[in-house]
Amino acid sequence: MAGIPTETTGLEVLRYGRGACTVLRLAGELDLSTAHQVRNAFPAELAGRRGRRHLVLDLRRLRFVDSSGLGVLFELYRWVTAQGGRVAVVRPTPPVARALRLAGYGKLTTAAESVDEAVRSLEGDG
Amino acid sequence: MAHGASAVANTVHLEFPSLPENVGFARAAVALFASRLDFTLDELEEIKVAVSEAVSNVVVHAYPEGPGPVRVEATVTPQGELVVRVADQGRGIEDVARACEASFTTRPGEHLGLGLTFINEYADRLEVNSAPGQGTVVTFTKRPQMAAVHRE
Repeated sequence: MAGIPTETTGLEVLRYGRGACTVLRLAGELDLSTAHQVRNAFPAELAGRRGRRHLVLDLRRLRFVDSSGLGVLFELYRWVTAQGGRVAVVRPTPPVARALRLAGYGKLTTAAESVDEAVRSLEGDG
Repeated sequence: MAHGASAVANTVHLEFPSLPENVGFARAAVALFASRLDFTLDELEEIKVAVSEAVSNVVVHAYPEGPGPVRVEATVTPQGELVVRVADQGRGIEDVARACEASFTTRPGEHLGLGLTFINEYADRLEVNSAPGQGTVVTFTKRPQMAAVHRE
């Protein structure tokens, strides 16, 4: 249910590499108090390093995002595209999808049903 | 709602310092309070975003010198609406109309300036009262849409 405190306050961030992509898997809630975890997991210097030009955001388990959380996703987008990469978003939950749409993030990024599909789609772009 | 006809407005309030880690607590608490109304899960999510935006604004903007008090008040009106009021005693907003514009931010590059836009989108009514040095009060109202349909 909405509002069980133990479920609502944290964010787990996992980063791994797949071919030409860095994958960031976010689980939990992305807001003002957790945005720094995403920045720490994917600092600006990392964009484009080790041949990993693209970024896949796996948002299947991200339950919540607000404008502070979106702010960090826009930062990642700027860093990656500045290095000639692209960003794909994997299956955001409905509330997250709506926030991404409102902020215009969907127009900038590629939507994918799975991490595999996202990687294929980004690598296919050359 | 069984208690919808009650003339007494049920109110809870929270007061806490404007620290980032309290943002999640505030939205969860208000959503829990709101869940006694006929809100859908989607609407409860919208309430969480709106509370998050209002409280985050206080954390980021209200007290440049360090954390200050935030007061969050949630009320269920006799009409079955949820009214949420987020108040601070911080530096206030110089140009409220401008602050409400989409993408306006005093801290570009760092913040999107979409906080009030999101509240506007997710709540039925939004009111911002502020003056420099006088603090800010953000009040939004949300009505369960299902209940509105039933009443008609």
